[in-house]
Amino acid sequence: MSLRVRLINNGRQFRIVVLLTYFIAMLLLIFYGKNFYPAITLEMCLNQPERYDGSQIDIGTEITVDKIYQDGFTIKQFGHIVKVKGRAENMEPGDFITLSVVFHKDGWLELKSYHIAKKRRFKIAVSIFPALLVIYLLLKSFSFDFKRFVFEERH
Amino acid sequence: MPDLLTHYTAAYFLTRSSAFLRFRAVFYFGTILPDIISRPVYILFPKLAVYTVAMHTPVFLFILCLFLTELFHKEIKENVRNYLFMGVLLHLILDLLQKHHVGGYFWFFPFSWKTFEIGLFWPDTPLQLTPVWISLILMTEGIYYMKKRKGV
Repeated sequence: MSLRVRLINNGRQFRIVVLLTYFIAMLLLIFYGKNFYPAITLEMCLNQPERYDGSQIDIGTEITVDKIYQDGFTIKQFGHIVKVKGRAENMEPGDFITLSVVFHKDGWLELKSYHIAKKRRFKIAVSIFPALLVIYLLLKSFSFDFKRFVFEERH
Repeated sequence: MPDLLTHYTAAYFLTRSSAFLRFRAVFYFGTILPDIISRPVYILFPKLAVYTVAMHTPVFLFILCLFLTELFHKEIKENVRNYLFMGVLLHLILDLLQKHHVGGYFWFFPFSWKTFEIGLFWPDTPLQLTPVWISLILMTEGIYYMKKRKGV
C-alpha cells in the first residue's frame, strides 16, 4: 500500500474516531441530564404520593388546562388529569400553562403561582417556517458527498 | 426560547451584508440549532422531554458544533465551525434575555443545575413582533434587489 493511500486511510479512521468521540460525549450528557435532573415531576409525585406529600413542585412540560371550576381547575399532562385548587384568572380549557404548586398525597395540587402561555401554538407554527427556510438555504449552499461522507460547497 | 422567526431575524440582520454570503446559511443553522434538536422531541413526545435537558446547554451545543463541523470538507471546516459557534452563541444570548415562570436554562450543566436569566421578556412576547420582523426582512430584501437592478 502506498504511503498516500495509507495516510488517507489513517485520516478516515481518525475522523471516524473523532466523530464517535463527540457522539459518545453527547450521549453521556443526555443520559446524565436524564438521570441526575434534580426536579420533582408530577409523575414522580403521582407514583409515590406518600413520599412527595407537601413538596413544592414546578411543572411546565406540555401541561394544558382541562376544565375550570369555581375553586380551581384540572390540568392534563401525559394522560393524567389532576385537580389544582386555587384562584386562576384569564384561563381557558386548552391553554398551555406552567405551574408552581404544592403536591398533596390524596392527589390534588395547591396553586402557588402560574403563567399562561396563550400563544404557544402560534409560536410553534411561526417557528416551522424559518426552520424549513434555513435547511433549504443550507442545502442550497452545501451538498453532501455520500462517498466521502462530507458536506461540500456548491459552486 | 423566543420563536425561531425572532432568532432567524436577529441572525439575518447580523449577516445580511454580502461579506457573509459564503457561510451565512451555516450561521442561520447555528442560530436555530439549539431549538431544532430539542423542541420537536419536547413537543411531539413530551414523555421524552427529560432526554432533552442536556441538549439546550452550552456544553452539549459546543460538542454538537464540533461533531457537525467534522461532517464538512476539511478546507471549509474552520469557517463552518466558527459560523456555527457564532450562530449558537447568538441563540443563547437571546435566550438569556428571557424570563420563565418555572425552569430556565442550565448554563453550567453538567457542573451545576443553577439557572439564570436576565428576564427582560416572556418567551412568547417577541411573537407580537412577527409582522414587524417579516416586514423588515421583506423591505431589506426589496432594497437589496433594487440596488442590484440599478447596479449600485
